[in-house]
Order: sequence, then structure tokens, then C-alpha cells
Amino acid sequence: MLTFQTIILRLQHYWADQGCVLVQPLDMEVGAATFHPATFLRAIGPKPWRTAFVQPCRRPTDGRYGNNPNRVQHYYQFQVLLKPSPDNIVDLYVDSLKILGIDPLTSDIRFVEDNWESPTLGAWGQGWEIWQNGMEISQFTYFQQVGGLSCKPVSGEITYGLERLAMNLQNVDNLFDIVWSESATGKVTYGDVFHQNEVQMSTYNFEHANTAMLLQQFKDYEISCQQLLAANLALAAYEMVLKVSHTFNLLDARKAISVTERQRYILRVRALAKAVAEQYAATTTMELSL
Amino acid sequence: MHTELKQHDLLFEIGCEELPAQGLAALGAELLTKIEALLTDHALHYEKDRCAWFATPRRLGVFIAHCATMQPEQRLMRKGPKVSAEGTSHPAALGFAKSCGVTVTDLNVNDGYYAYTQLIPGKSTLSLLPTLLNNALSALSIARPMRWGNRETGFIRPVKWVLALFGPNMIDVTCFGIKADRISYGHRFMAPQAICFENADRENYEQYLYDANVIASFEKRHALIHHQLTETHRLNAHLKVLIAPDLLTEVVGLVEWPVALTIPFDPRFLNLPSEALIASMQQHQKCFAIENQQKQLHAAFITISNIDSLDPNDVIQGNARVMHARLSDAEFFYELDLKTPLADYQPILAKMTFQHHLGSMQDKVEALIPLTGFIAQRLNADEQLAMKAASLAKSDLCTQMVNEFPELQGIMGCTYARQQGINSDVATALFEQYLPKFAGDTLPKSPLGISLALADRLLSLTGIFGIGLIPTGDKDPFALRRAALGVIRIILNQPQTLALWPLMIESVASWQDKLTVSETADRVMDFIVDRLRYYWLDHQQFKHYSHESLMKAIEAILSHLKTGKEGDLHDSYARLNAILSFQSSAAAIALASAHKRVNNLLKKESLDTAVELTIQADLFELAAEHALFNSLTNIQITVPALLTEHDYKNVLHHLATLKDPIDAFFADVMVLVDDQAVRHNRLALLAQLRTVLSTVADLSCL
Repeated sequence: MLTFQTIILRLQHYWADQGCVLVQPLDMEVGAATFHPATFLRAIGPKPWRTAFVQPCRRPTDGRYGNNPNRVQHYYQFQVLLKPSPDNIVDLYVDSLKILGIDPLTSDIRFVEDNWESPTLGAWGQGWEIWQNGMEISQFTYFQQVGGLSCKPVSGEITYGLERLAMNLQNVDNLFDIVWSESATGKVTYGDVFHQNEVQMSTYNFEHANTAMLLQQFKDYEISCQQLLAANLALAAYEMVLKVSHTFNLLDARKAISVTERQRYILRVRALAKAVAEQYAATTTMELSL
Repeated sequence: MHTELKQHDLLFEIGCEELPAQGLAALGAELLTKIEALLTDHALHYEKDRCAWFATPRRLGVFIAHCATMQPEQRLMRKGPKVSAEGTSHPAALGFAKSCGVTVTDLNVNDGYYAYTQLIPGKSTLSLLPTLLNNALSALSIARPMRWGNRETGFIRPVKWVLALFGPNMIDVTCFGIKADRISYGHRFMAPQAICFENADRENYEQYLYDANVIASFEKRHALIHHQLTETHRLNAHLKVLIAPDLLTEVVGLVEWPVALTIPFDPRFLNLPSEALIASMQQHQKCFAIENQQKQLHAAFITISNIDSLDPNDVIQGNARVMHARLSDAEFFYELDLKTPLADYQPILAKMTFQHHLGSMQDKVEALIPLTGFIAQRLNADEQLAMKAASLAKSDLCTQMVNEFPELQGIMGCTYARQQGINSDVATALFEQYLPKFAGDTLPKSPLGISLALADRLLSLTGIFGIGLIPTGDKDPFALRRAALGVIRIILNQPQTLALWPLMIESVASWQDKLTVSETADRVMDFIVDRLRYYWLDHQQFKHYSHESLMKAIEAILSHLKTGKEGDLHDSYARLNAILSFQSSAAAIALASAHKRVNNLLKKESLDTAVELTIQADLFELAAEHALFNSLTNIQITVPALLTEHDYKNVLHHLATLKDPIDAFFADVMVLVDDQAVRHNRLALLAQLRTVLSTVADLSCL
């Protein structure tokens, strides 16, 4: 049986062999690996790029106090970005499943249309959810636009949901039963590592997050982002976009934003993301021409 | 002379990464249509009846039967200058001949003009096909084409291979950077090796692909899956698979090699509302639900997998696990929702926009309460309960479950209301308010449901019209056409008279000062009347009437409905039926033409309105005048009683007796005589006649 950490190790190894740079996780709260600068920013502009990395993700509204076998507010994605998307990208992906011991002649692997769109990032693309026996184990996207900019060339993004993958591979019904590691001190499960975190963080996200403080932070980060853009510091400004975005997610979990206002908040985040993308694109084009 | 075939079959397949399942069939069919249209444009004949399209997740294919290998020779007649006295030496003639590449003596003379018939040889189909096929591909309606790699132009999904054969010949075409070959591929996993085709042969194409675990024909896969679904349930004779047509079509687009598997789920989930379970199964997992004879869900579902698995248990276990997680989620939402009484959602509704100018959902609810009460009172239903239902009508929009499955609105409201011990008629009304959801859907039955359903639609209509956002063309974001049609169907379906005008006026009043457009009620009424026209034109009940006569009959009664003060649709319906059965009689034709004639006469005399004209019997000069007057008088005595009973057939029967007096009148009487008193008296008589003729409908429309 593959442990959770073995799955990560194998994927890293496989994608490193495909010429990917194994950058490490971003040390900030993000809702998806797409937010990692190694994806979002690197997808902009003409420069080829291949990367793979694990990214912890936080989606406060998905918390279930550790009671749901399949939904959590904190989980891991394994992210791959191939720019430009190679012709054999789907085959590469299928081979990556094989090295995890998934036999596509045994499991029912399906490509279900999923046109991805991130309203906050001003990004969209086309692709699929990949299903293994009805379980969505990966998302596959050909980026068409990022930060409102057309992607030329197009990047292919593959995102593995590591927990779901592990549940299928280990044949367990509950995410918290995933074997993380057969360590020197015995078997360690996902629950051992994260169950208490889910309980506490769900309680925090839904009940205790200080909405007044968060609303203020949203404004502060927004202003900060604009100031950093004015100072021509696109990378620093981008960190503020991530802060704004996560703050918004927390406010959303607290239902502190009305349905009407919600759209306006999303547009504010998007405006920042677009401004950052444009400045970043301008700088990278300059670098290339030097 | 060599014997080259005059016709070949054409086989074209474009292999892609997995195509979107929704709309796959339409895309396959469209590719065939586009290719056929282009062949016709190029004067290339083929056998339409034997053509076919194919569509699977990894390919779109087209087969054209018996297509000409050459275009026919074209004769192009060019017209030159006029033949002049100078004859063949004239510069214009010389110039024309030169432009045709011949001498003047080769030209014909036609009607005094030079002419030249040019023979343009047809091109070979094989040379035309590359451009033709690419044009067909780029003409496909793809809402959002995508790009991949370094490519600038896009398609629906990345293209992997192109198979293009014309008879035994390979077509020299490159589509999206891929050069065509005589090669296709089978199932992505079960038969990944290349398949080579010698010929553009439909039977071989389908057979070789079948051998490679691909059923290329969309229709055949559709039939097979349907068969598998119905066959599976034969295991238990009392069970029935719920086959939603849209879901089935989508699933057909998701698989090349369908294999049905029946998979159980934990029966504890059967405590959840079945609609929620079905939504989870169908939408999230694209699976089919199963029910028993009592229409209760059975704790299992069917999935259509895309593989003859080496170990079906692996597929079954995986699917069972996902379904368990999905249903656990639904359970979580359900239990969470149950904790909040429906009445407590007001503050959230107050933050939810209905329409920018009209305010929040809570504002709509507050307008809904008095209007629903008003309608309930008119239907002799419990006004207090109706208002209670209105006050809770939109609460379920705030629940987790409706958030997850918007189409469960109303259904969840009803379920939660029952669980929370709210009056059962109120609960039913919460569900029924959204009926009918589509043309042909069931209608609300309970008086409270009818009241709420009508109030909801009328408020949307008057609200949106009242701020000037009238639907135009295909822009109808608030689905007002559907709302208007709903109003019509609901009113006509319930037995009581429920006049529209008072409802409309009350509805406008319910919005208080929010509406900015004047005469909103009139505009909405016109809009509803307009929908009523289409509703009746399409109505099954009237199918045996010709379109033209039905249209005339509807016009005749609609103008009546618009000018009436009640807006009573039942009454209009009764009139329409009477007119339809009367329409083809000789009397009807005579009365219609008399009505038109009277209209014209009165119009000519600017006496369109028949007011202020009194008939003086002593001014009559001819027997025909007396006869008509007497007939009218008789009718005016008998008809009112019939009208109160809505017995329009009988009224028309009486009107028919006017035929002879009218004919006699127009035969004997000159209306526009010089004597003003006589003239006016005759016009007055005609005005009276018109009023009587209009009793049931505007007969001049017939």
C-alpha cells in the first residue's frame, strides 16, 4: 500500500523526470495551488516553464468540523504546470497514475468536462475533472487567460487532490483514515496529523473569526497592494492579493458578506490580481528583451 | 481510356482529447450538416440518405456516401458588346474575343450581342476536399474554443489525429496542425494501438472501432445504455430506473464502451428527501437513481463506466465510496438546515438582491404577502394561511441544500416546513409556488399553492415591467415570458373565475412606490394577452383547426379581452370555443363580412364610435330597415340572459339569424343618402348592429 507521503514522493520523482522544477510550497494561505506564484505568475508571458510542487490549501467554507469523510477546510494539492502544454500531456498524466499503481484497465478513468474559472484571479481555462471510479482525483486545465491576460503559449495545469487519490489507493472510506506514514514509531494516519486541526479550525472559521478585524484587514491589504503596485513591486503586491483573497474566504465562511456585496468583493480582488498580472507581464517582457 | 470510378465514399474523423459530453451529439450532427452543405455548394453530388455522423468522447466522424469524384463541367456564358456595322473589326468585338482567349470568329451572336460560351472543367473532389473539410471544421458552432501549446487558433479540445479517406485515397489535408492519415485509434486504455483503414468504408469503420472497444455511433451507444439500464433493473422486477433524458444523453457522451454497474449505498440516507438524493446522484456523479413501485428510492444506483474492468469490484467500491461521501454532504446540509426555522431567514433575505431597483428578496416577500392574501380571498381560500405561506416563500433560498442544488428551491422549503411542524397546506404551497417550471409541467393544485404561484409571477411581471425592463428578443433574464405563460395556465386550469385585472392592479399596488413606469398594469396585460395568443396557437386541443382559422378566431376574442374590464381568461376561453365551432358556418362568413362592411361605412363617416346616435323607427323608409331593426331588438332581449351564463354558442346561434335581414338591408338600402336625418338614422342602425355583432367577439377579424 502506498502511504500518503509515498504518493507525494513518487509524484515528485516522476515529474522531476519530466523536467519539472520542484519548487516548494508557498508559505502563505491560498485556496488552491493555482495561486502559487510558480503557477499564477509563471503562466503569464512567453517564457517556457515546468514545475511541480505540493501546496497546502485552505478553503474555510469547506470545513465540516472533521465529521465529513471527504470534505475538509485544509488539504493538499499536488500541482504540475507545463508551459507550453506538450502534445503528450494527457499521456504524461496517465503515466503518472500508473506509477502510483492505478491501472486504467481496472479502474474507470474518465475525463469529465470542467471549464475552470477563478473569478478572483481573472483566470479561466478549459479541461476536465479526472475521475477514478467516480471520484474526482485531479483537475486538468489548459489556461486560456490569467489575470485577464491571454496565455501565449498555453500552460497545461494538472492538479492532483492528494487526499482523494490516497483514499482510492488505500481503499479507505474516510479521509482521516488515510495512512500518512509507516513511521519508525508506528503507523501515522491523516487523522493523527490533522483531525484536531479540522475541528478547531472549522470552529474558528465558522464561529470565531473576528469579522470586524477581517473587514478592516481586507481594506488594509487592498490599499497595501495598490501602494506596492505604485512602487513597482509586483511580487510583493501579489502577496497582498493572496492576503485579500484569503481574508475574503474567511469572511465568506462567517457569512459576513451579503449575497449582493459578495460579487463586489470578488471584483475588488480580481481588479488587484489583474493589475498585478499586467505589471508582472510588463516587467518580464522587459527582462526578456534585455 | 482508364476506368476511374465516378463516385467514392468519404470518411473523415477528427480525433481529440476528451470532448465535452454536453452538446457532443449536436456537434457531430453539425459537422455532417456543414460538410454536406459545402459539398452541395461545390456541386458535388452524394447520397444523402446513406450519410452518417459519429461522435464519441474522443472523436467526431462523418461518412458521406457515394460522392462524385469530379465536379461537373460548368458552362459559363459570357455576354459581349453589341454587334455593330463595322462587324468583326470593331475594337470592342476584338477586345471581347481577346478577353475570352479566342478570335472574333469563334464568338456566337445572340440577340444582336456577341457571346462566348466557356467550358470550365470540373475540379477533382480530392483536390477540393482539404479546404472544404477545414472550412466545415471552422464553421462548427463552438461557444468557447480553446487553444493549446503554442497554437494561435483553437478548437473545442486539442486535436490528436485526423483520418481522412476518399475511397481508397488519403486526403491531403492538415487540420489544426495535424496531417491526415488513414489511421484512427480505439479506446484510450483498452485498445490504444493504431487502426489502419484501407478504404472509406462505413461498415469497416464501425466494425474495426467496435473491435477496439469503441462504439462510434452516438445513437447506438444511446440505445445500448438505455438497454443496459432497463436490463439491470430486471434483476428485481419491482424496481425501476429513473432515466432522466438529459442525463442519459450526457452519459452517452462520456463513454466509448459503456458497462453498467449497480452499486448499493447506505440505506440510512433514505431518510433524506429523495429529491436531494436524486440531485446528488444525477448531477454530481452522473449516475441513475432507482425507485420501487411505491415511488420510494431504492438504496442503490447505476453508474455507466467506460471500461470492461479487469476487476469490476474496484470500480464498484470506488463509486460506492464517492457516493457515500456525497450523500454524507447532503445529510450534513440537511441536518444543518433543519436547525434554522424558516421564519428566521428574514435577515439573510434582506441582504439577498431580487432586483437592484426593486430591492431585496425580503422586499419581494413583503409585497408577496398582501397579494397572496388578496388572491386567496378571491379563491375563497384561507387568507391568513396564504399570507403565512408568502412570508416563508423564499426562505429556503438561504438554505445550504438549495445553495448546493438551486433546482431544489420550493422542494426544500416544503420539506423543511413539514419537518418544522408548519401547517401542511402552507408547506404544500411552498412547493407548488414554482409550478409550472416548464411548458407541460404540472400545475399547482391547492388553493394556497395557486395563490402563491400567481402572486409570485404577477409580482415579477409588474415589478420588472414597472421599472421599464421589458423583455426584448431573446433577452428575458427574469424569464417573464415563462411567468406570463404560468399565469395563464394556472388561471385556466383551476375551476373558479379569477379575473386578471383586479389581480394586476393589486399587484402594482403591492410594490408601493417602487415602480417608476406609468400604466404598468396595462403593459403587463398586453404582454400576457400576447402570450395567450401563442399558448392557444400551440394548444393541443386546437390542433385540428387550421392555423389560419385558429389565428383569426384568437384575434377576434383577444381584442375583446383587452378592451374588457375584467380580464377573465375563462370567459375568453369559452368565447374562443364558441367562435371556433361557429367559424366555418355560412352565417359566420356572412356576419364577418357584414361586420367589416359596417366598420368601413362607419369609419368613412367618422362615426367609429357609435355613441350619441339614436335610432328613430319613424325615419325608416324601407321594409329591410324595419326587419333588421326588429331582429336586433329581439336579439337584445334574449341575449343578455345567455351572456350571463357564458353560453356564447347560443348567442352566436341567435346572431346567425341576422344573416338574412342583413343581406336584405344591404341589397335594398342605400345608406349614404343626401337626406342627413335618414342617413344618420341608418348609420345609427348600423352602429347598433355592430354592437350586437361584437357581443361575443370582434367578428370582423374572422
